[in-house]
Amino acid sequence: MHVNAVYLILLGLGVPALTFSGLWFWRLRHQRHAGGRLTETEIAARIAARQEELRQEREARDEHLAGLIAHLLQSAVDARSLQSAVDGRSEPDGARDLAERAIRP
Amino acid sequence: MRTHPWIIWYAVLLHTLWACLLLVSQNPYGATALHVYSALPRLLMAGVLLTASVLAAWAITRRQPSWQTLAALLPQQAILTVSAYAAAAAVVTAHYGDGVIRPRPFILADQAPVILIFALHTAAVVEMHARRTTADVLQATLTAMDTEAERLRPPGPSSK
Repeated sequence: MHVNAVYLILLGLGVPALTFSGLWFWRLRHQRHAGGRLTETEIAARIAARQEELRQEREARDEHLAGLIAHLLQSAVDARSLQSAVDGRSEPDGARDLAERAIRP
Repeated sequence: MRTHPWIIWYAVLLHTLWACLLLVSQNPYGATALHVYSALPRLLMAGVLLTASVLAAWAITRRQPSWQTLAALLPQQAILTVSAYAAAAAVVTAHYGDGVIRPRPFILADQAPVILIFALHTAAVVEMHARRTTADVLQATLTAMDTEAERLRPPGPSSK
């Protein structure tokens, strides 16, 4: 079987060249679509910065929640004291004084 | 590389075997897939096959695909392309590379692996190098994270 050498060379070089150029254009198109390309160092720095920002946000939220819980606990304690004072029938004047003190700001 | 391109390892082993056989004797040139190279000295052809195999093995053992790994896989693809062309030509002309005449379906059944390995090898090379790298995935994730964080961020004093 005689095969033309020109065809062989064209095929042997053409198919890999097509593969290479096809992938080249594919990657170029993908990069343009994805926008500016960051280096891995920049990506790592941005991840670290974002992590620190999220940690600070979480700490602030935790402190806020802790303050709310403390305030609610204190309100519950005051309410219980007030209730005890109101229920204490044996000393009506003292209970009334205690209730007035609790209600007073 | 993360994928397991077994088809490339198959081509590496096949070309290494062909090279070893060519180093021993001229007879392997009778095979249709190799007959197309019979104009070349067998030692030179063995060297070309071994070089392509070593380059391909180097490429698929890298952690990340790159332009270097792609370039290293192309010699193997070129050899497979020419072999597949020879197989297809044998089917069309209804005789093997060494001149043995057979019915076309017979030759097609016999030479189909050479044609298929070319197609699968090309698909594997494209798949390995067209998909996104770790850096691409990280960047996309970071962008999505920033977008979502901005969306969830409560309005600050500046927005009053």
